Amino acid sequence: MKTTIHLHCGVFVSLLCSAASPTPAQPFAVVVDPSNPTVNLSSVDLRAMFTGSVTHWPNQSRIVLAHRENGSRPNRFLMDRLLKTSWPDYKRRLENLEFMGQEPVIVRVLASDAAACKFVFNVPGALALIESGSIAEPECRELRLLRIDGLAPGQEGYRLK
Amino acid sequence: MKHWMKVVPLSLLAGAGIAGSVFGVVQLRRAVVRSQDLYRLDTIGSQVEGDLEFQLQESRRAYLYALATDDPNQQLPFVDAAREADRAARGTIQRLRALQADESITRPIREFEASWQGYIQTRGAVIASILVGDAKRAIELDQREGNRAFAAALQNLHALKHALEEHARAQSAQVDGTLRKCIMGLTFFVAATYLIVLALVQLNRSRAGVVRALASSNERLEHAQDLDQRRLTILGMVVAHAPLAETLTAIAELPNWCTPGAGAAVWSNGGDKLLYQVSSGLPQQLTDEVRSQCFELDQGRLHLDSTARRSIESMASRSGLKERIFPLHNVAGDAIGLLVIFGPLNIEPRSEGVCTQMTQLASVAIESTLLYDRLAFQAQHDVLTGLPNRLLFQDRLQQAILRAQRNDTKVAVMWFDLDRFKQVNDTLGHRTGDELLGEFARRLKRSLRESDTAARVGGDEFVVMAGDLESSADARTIAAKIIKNLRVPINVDGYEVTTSASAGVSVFPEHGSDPAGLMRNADLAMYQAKRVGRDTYLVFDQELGDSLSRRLEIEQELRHAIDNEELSLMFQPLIGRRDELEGFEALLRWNNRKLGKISPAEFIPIAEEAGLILRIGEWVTRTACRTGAAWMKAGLEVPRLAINASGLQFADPGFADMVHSVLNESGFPAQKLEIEVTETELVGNLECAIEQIGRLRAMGILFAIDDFGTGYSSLNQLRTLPVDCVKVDRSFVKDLERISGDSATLVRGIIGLAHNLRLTVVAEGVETERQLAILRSLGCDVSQGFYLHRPLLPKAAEDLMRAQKPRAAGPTPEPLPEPALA
Repeated sequence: MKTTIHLHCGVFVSLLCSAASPTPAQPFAVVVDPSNPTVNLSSVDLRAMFTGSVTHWPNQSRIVLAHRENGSRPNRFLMDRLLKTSWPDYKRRLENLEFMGQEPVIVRVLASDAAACKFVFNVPGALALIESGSIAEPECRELRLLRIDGLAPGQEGYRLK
Repeated sequence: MKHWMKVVPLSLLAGAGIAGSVFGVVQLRRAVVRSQDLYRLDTIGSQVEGDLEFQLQESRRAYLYALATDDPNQQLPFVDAAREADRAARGTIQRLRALQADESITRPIREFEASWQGYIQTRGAVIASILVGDAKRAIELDQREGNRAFAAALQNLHALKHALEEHARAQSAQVDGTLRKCIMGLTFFVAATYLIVLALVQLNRSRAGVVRALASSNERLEHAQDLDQRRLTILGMVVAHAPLAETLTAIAELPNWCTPGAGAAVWSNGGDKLLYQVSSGLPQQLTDEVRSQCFELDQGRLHLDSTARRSIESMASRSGLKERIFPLHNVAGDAIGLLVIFGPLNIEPRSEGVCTQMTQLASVAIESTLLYDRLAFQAQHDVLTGLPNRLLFQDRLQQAILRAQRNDTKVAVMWFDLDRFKQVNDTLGHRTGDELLGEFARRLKRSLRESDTAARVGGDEFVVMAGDLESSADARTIAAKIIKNLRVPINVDGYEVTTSASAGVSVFPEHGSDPAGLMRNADLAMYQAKRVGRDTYLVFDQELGDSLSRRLEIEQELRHAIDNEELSLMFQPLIGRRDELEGFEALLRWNNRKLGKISPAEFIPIAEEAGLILRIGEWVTRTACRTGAAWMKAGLEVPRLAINASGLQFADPGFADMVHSVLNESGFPAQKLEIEVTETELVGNLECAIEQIGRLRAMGILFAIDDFGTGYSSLNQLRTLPVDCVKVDRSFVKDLERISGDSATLVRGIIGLAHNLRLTVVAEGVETERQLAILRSLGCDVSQGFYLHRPLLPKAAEDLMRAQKPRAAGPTPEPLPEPALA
């Protein structure tokens, strides 16, 4: 495997600590297109995917990140809680990776959870972080909701909240 | 042709038409279904192909639009539009599938769908590339695969379109074929409808025919009922014995009623007269000719020969008519008349039945009339001689009496009886006797005037009535003339029979005022004429009539005397010289409820003449023996019982057997029975009497000569007859007291003679003591008479026997021997 998932214990601990702090109760969900065979991701893998450390799915299909626009709750959660960075830093990091000769990370920013879901639906290998409340929207119903660390949104111990 | 022969084939054709119409309806339904399919294919198909093409273009256009921007948020609406076009295309394809068309459609659909799916997949990859912002790859992918897939989809779409068109054409052709079948079926339907209507019309015609037939049948029925009514009327006339002419006229009117212009003529031999009747409907000329037509009578029967037939044919043709001749016969097949029906040439067929009925009615009417006339004749006439019988004679006599009363004339009634007719019958046979009677009748008729009446009122008894006589002498003249005519010998079957007749004459009004009285008196006079000598006549005499009337009355009553228990016996004691009871003489008594007590001297001769004496004699014998037996059974010493017998009884060959039977039956000893008979009775048939007496004496029965010394008394008979006793007639006893009489001498001689012959002498009619004394002095053994005892009733006789001193017991009577064979 050309791309490997690198678990960074410090970041992960930090993520867990920040996740344990009091935040709005609405969790976030990770959705993929239905053809994606993956059903479960670890928090580390999830972060690696968003940080560009992992660019391909286990079935070798390219990971496409469907980001919500800056300032949206999913984007803030991703930046603040999951990646511990800011949107501009994040964008720079991704650009640096391409500059350093790594395979570029495909990131598409969508204006809403519905657009994100629609995008994921049309792009195989796409991955989006949306609010769990949007799962019930029509555009999102046909997507696959991934378990994170084996837990679905709403379950005790689910971390994306 | 029968109506049903028309209706049934039409009904069959109508049925076939109905089947064809059902077929047509089915085909029509199919055509409608196919048309609906065609419509769907045509409409939906054309919509689908347009939609698909549009949707294909829309889908392609949408992603092309998406290529125009890099912002996924702006690209996504186009992606949605493309997706929407995809969904619409899927819906269109579903609509195509929903047509459930055959393989020619479903296969292009599947191919189009496959190519479309291929394009969708290619386009999906293109869209994904667009959305991820890789426009270059998206364009390459679209040009490399997308265009090809789109072209394939379009091609398949066109193929589908073509298949739809082909299918529509095929469906259209099938619809056309189905419609043709439908039209054919409908044609059948129309034809069936027409045939049904035709059948109904025929049926209606048939029904009309049936109605007409019913009406015709009803008319025939009414006609038949009318004919029956007329026939019943005619039969009623026959039954009521209406005049034959009226009945035949009614029959002759039947053809005119049945066929206008027709008529009939009926000839009949009514007895010895030829009658004819003509219906009123015939032309006058024909009627006149019919009336002048004569037929021969063959022994009183109508004879129709060829000449007569031609004559009838000529009569009919001259009147422009056709004739039909029907001989009339009775039950035996004898011709009794002739029925000729004249009518138009085209006589209706149903007239045949009328002709038959007319023939039958006319035959019945004529035969019934002839039969009725014959019966009427027989009811009033004697079959053998053809003379009126007693009923008709009495009626005519009554009429003659009424005429005589009006005209103050006389009517003679003469009663004739053939002399010795029984002898002729017995010797020459009944057939000869019948011929003799017939000849006697003819002679009687020849001897009378036309206005007189001769009748047969009995076997050989005839009575003649001659009216309008001036005097009784006229009656004598007529009677003498008839008797004279009857004396002429008659040749019967080769035998010359000389006969005569005795006649009695009575005359109205001297000898009776009514037929019965006149006839009875004439009969009495005839009877007297027979007694005074035959071959003569006597005119009734009132005194003679009275005695004969009593005699006839006695005879009539005597016939029922035994059955009415009017006869009885009294017992007059026979007293011996020492006043002892020697016996009883049983004396017959008759007490008639109508005539009172009648003396045996009066009724015995009548009984002998009437042939009643044998029965009476048997009754006397049986009663006397039973009484004697009863006395003996009562312990009385019964002396001998004497009964009187008639000479006719001795002439009866069964007399001895009868006595023997009575003795056995009663148990009375023969030795105690004595039979008395007068000499006169035995003279006529002395040999037979001697034989009978011999047989009876062989049984032990005693015999006595009664009334000895009178009649044919003969000393020689005392020697010839095997008797035990002589009874001196009361006339000798009565004269015994005369001083100058010779009776005592005669009685002494009789007694002496009898004693010499060892016969017992009994004197009858002893009425005085002196008579008894004289008789006993002359040696008479036994006496009887009022002086000694009047005849006693059985109970008194029984008392007398009880009063007698018992005699020494005599020998027991021996058993009664069988009578000797005659």
